Amino acid sequence: MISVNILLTVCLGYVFLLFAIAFVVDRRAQRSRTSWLHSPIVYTLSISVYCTSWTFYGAVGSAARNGLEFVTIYLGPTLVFVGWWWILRKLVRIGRAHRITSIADLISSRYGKSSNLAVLVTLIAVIATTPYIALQLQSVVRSYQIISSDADAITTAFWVAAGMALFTILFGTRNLDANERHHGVVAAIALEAIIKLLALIAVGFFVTYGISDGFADVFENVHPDVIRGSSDIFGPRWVTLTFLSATAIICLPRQFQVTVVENVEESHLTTASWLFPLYLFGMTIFIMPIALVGLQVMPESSNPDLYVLTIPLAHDRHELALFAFLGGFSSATSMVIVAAIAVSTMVSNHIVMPVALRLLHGTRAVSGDVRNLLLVSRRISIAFILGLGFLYFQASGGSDALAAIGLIAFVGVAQFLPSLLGGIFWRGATGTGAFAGLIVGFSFWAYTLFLPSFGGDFVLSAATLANGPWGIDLLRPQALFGFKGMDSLVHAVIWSVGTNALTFLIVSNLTSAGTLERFQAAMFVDVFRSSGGAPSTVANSTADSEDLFILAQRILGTDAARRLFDEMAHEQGTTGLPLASDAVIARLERELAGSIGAASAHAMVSRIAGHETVGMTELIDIADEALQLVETSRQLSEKSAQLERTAQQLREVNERLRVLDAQKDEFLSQISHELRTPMTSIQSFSETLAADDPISLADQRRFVSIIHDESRRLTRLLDELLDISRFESGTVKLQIGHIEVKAAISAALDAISGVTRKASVLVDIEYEQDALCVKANEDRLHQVLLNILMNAVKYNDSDQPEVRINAYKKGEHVLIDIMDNGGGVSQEDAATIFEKFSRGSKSARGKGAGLGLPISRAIMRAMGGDLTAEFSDGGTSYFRLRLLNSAVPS
Amino acid sequence: MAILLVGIVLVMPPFAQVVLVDANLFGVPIPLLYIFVVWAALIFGAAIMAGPLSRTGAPMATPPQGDGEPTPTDSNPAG
Repeated sequence: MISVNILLTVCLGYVFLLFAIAFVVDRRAQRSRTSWLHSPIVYTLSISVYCTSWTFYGAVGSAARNGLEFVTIYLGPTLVFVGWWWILRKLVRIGRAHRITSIADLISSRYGKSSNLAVLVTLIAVIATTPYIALQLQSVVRSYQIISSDADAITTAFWVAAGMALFTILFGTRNLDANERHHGVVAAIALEAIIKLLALIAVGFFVTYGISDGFADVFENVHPDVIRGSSDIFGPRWVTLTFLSATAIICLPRQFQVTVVENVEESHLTTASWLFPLYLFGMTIFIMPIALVGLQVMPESSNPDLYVLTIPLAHDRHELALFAFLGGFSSATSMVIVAAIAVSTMVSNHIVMPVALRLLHGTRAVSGDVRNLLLVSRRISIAFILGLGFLYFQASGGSDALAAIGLIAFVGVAQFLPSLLGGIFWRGATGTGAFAGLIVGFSFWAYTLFLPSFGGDFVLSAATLANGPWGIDLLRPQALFGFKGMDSLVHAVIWSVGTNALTFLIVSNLTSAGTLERFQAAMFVDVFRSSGGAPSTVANSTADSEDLFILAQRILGTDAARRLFDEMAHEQGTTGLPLASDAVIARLERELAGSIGAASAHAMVSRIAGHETVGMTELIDIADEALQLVETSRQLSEKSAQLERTAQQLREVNERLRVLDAQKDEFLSQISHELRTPMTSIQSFSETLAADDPISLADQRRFVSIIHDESRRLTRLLDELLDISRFESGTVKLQIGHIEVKAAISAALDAISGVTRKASVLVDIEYEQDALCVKANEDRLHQVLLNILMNAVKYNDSDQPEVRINAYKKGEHVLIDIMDNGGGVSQEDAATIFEKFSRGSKSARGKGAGLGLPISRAIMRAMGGDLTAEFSDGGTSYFRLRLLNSAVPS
Repeated sequence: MAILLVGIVLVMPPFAQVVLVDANLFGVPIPLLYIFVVWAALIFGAAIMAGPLSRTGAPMATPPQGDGEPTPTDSNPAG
């Protein structure tokens, strides 16, 4: 026996060393002077928390009882690391991109940040981890008792648990860094990893070369059945155990913590892919020899689980026994510390904080400092987890039932596997599917493995175990639905993991994912394709007004967000950013809901508000995407409005073209008619003249005169057409001079005096002033006046025809209004009378070619004026000539 | 990936059952020796494959902090 004093001194010294290392490394990490810590070797050593005291002591016991089977627990992880490390790399990449803090966080994040899933995964993790922690306490207590036989188990366990809680709280909650890295803890467990490896190898060497004479001697005369264990070593149990251990290295919360969360550099995985299997190889190489030698040299009553300790003691190698004790102590403490950190993060983030925030929300007592709350909740969670482990240990009384708990925990966490793998490889996986799968798998696990492990002492009675509940044989926990004669572990794995995966697949196929969930699915499955979230230094686990403001900016736009926050700050009576009180968050959430829908807004704001620690970058990404969608849809609607306008314009142009086309047809038929009339008469008279029949000279003269008149009419018509086209094309340059209006009108009236007199038209002229002058071409103005006046006279069918002319100055222009009492034109005709060949309905047939008005307007425009049809208040129409006022004084 | 398949085939039934012979080789029972030899071979294979992977920089993330010094990934300190 070693004296208690020496043992305690060594133990406390070792614990002090761990504290010191963690403390120093944490200090240095803050000053970024820990480059050696960023080495792949430290990373690999930290992964070795996989090897707990269950490995350190239990593997030898397992080898002594079941032979080679213990190897499976290390073969599974070896296969994963050697050949499947890229799945770990995907997890690491996802963990980094999405600021994943735990396996519960990963699964809930993937499935639309579902809080229900997070709670479920957390509960399963707690239930599977608590007995495992109790097992570690037990191993420490037992080994302590072995070395100093008079220790009180419960007291020892209590102080060990308290010490671990202190360590974990001190170094596990120093920072709430987004990546949840604990450099001090990692350094300490790396040291412990070395200690436990060296201790086991030292014992192995002593056993193999100190007690025996090398490997050959160890294995000499060993019955093959001892190596084989069961008769069917490479059977279903072998496969199941390998599968379980492979699953555990991915799904165990503590493994997820060290492999994914604490990973500082993705490339470290490459080294770990062979270095970690090598570590496991080193841990196991002497397991079999120790077990075999123990079986030979130790009394039969001796517990094989403690050979590592009892063999050196039996050979009075106290220093080696002490070293072995430290190795076992290291295995236990490192597991407990990391598991406590991992599980407490889940409990705190997914259970305590949501509840705390909800309670505080009711009292409105929460300030912006969610950070402190989070720290307190994290610390309480650690104490809670370790307390639970201690209570479990005390309740189970350190029974041997604990020894089996390692594999039971493995099966428990294996329930995460379908949701996890489905989540990162299958876009179609839904949160409902994951939830259903987990529930079903967990229930089967509890019913077929966990509860029976109490041997009838807890929930399920011994009778139930033997005969099934209510005596229904089909429901026997360890032979469910008639699956008899199977190893209970294999049976439980097939039922729990099998139904879990099946339910997950079926329900996922039957349900559809929400928007956020689909978005997360794409981000997770295609993590290597997407740019991923750049590592940010934003501490996003507390409600930070700045984060909220950034989020608001992204969604509402800078100005709107600024206004909103200014307003909220004003309400709080502060300047700058308002405190992130619940009121502010609720208000912001409402505002955001208007832009992105209530569910997304709730998810975003509540994440920032500290219910869960999920990266800012992802939230911003979501916000950006939403903003992009809004922007794109805005652009689209603009485009479509523009298209609508263009189409409308096209329709109008088309309509106009159709009208023009009709006008052109009419013009052609009109012009051929106009040309045909004189041509017909010329033709017929010239035929008469050319005929042999004798015609009197008088008749001949008359005919020739008619032909001459008709020819001139033709020429005039063609001249008019030519004029119109020249004026319209703008190729004519008119000589512009100063024309006296009075003289021009008199001349025009003189020219038609014959007609006016004949029709006894009364002409009334009114000049504003006598000496009105305009800029015009004399001949052309004459032509226009003649045309308008002729129209006024010609189409006037009044009994007492009357023409009124009014000339006056208006601004820079001189206006000449010519109106008659013949009724004028209608409003509809006014729009078309200036078109070629379109005469007013009144003059529809016969008189003239209808080119007079178009020509007149063309002339007036060519002289810088215009000709329009106007309407007086009484509705009668008149023509208005407008010309530029000539500056020449009279 | 290939190494994973090879590993699974070698250590899983029915292939592994081939070595279930009750004899010792180099003083070590053959099933035990076989498992450990395959194990060592897997580690060796992984180490060989890890070398070029980490050197050619197959899609690896950059470290979040710039203060980490380049670390030797192909050393073998725990040998």
